[in-house]
Amino acid sequence: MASTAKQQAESAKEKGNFFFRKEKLGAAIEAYTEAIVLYPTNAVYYTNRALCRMKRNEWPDVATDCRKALALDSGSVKGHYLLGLALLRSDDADEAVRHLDKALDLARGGNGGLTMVEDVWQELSNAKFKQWDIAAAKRRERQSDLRNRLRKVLLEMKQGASRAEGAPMDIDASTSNEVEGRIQGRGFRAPVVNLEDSDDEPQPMSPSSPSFEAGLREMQATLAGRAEPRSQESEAKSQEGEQSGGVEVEGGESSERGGGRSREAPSTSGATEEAERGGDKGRRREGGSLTEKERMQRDEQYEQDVNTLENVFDKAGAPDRPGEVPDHLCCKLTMEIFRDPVITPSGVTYERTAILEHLKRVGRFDPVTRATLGEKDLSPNLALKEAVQCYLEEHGWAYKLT
Amino acid sequence: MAGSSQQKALSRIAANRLQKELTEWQLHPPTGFNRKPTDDLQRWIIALDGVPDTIYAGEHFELQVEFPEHYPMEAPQVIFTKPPLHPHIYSNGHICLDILYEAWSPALTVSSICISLLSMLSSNTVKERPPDNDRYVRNCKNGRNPKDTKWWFHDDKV
Repeated sequence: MASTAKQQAESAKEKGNFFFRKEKLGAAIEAYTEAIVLYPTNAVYYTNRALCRMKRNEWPDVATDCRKALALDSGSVKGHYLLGLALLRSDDADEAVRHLDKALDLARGGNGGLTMVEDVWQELSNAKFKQWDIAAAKRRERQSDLRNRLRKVLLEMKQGASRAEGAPMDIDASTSNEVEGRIQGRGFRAPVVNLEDSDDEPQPMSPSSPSFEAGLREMQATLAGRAEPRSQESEAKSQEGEQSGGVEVEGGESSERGGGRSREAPSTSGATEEAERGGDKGRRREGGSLTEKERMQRDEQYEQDVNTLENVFDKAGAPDRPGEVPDHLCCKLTMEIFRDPVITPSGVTYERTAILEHLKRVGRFDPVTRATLGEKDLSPNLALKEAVQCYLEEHGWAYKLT
Repeated sequence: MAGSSQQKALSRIAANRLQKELTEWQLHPPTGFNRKPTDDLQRWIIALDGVPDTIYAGEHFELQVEFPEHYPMEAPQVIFTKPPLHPHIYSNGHICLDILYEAWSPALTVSSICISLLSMLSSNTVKERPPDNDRYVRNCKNGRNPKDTKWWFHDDKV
């Protein structure tokens, strides 16, 4: 009895395969359903039906079939693969990645074949990219929120100090415009000045973000009238009222203007006369409860804190900014980040599929050194594979396929 | 045969790799070369200026690079559409340079080909066609692909 049902199920599956090849998906689904009814414990019937449903974009049904298939056979490549795809459509990137990872492992280990490995990889990359995209957006939001709040705190601390000293906070409207350009210049420039000290980070913060500008307007209200120009560069920017904000803007015209005038704090040298005037007005309004030196130290402290704050957040956000994958993590043949790197006796590492293709199509030599090379000379480069994994964990955007 | 394979669209791997090469080219083009902007990834037209202080100073040449379906596992087809006078360059633009044919390696790039060509030009001292130019060009009439030629590489001095 049982064997008859099994045989009938097999022939129903064959019928299903036949319809599937003819792209008669409805008929194929019926046939596979028949097979399942006859013999409900064969995972392949479910994955085959899932494949038909995938072609009809019936994703929830794909997921259901795959889960049944995986319950019967947890090592089903197709089950994990198709479930991964379905989960991607339902925006469950984490689960999708889990299943696609599993499918990739199984396909690489077993006889899934190169196309299967490639297909799974593509989808896995998509899933990981999506996963990163969601997580990165959250991180960005949290960081920007915290950044704004900390900026406010710094400002409030400074204002608090001023009030305690009895310094009035009102700003003369006629001077605020004049000062505006300079303060913005300082604000935009400041983090860059700090970056130059820190020697390795070439990327300026993003000064054009609205929250930053809002923060600046706040800072400006407080700083107006007491601002001490910080550097020649910042002066140059303020004079132009420029907001572009980038490391490439260097002192230029300002160098002949403000140079040479020395102050107590080293970074405030190079003040221009215009800034001096602004400073004078501020000092007059303030009523002189602080000595000039104290005021300057306090402002300096504030500015340093703001710079450090921006710098820290800028660095924290750097891995999430898409860029170029370093060359040493990319295959010289595919020019893409390694997936399955193998090393030759010459010491050059290639993507496995690419070097195999080369040996088959082009010739039996190392593409870079031209030393004789055969398939059996290749060994997996595990260290590099791990390095790639680490890099991808930090820089999820690198999963983006071109 | 190779001529007809050139018509085939790029494979996904080829398209990916070329996209990367193009990005790299745009960031760091080889000195003296200028890719004409087109949206055809499979066929690049590249202008080339003769290097100052060489016999080609002040001259302008043009290359055409066509990529086969399975690039970089197959060499691109590289010809001069405005050829310089050179003992290894035929008047129909075909170039006698081993890396374009049997010494091709997928680790080579458009950039590295350009640099090889530039050094081939810069080291030359006599402006003349290859000795067998007329015969070769006559044999190449029907738009023959230089990759189909059985090249016999003269020497590597020039």
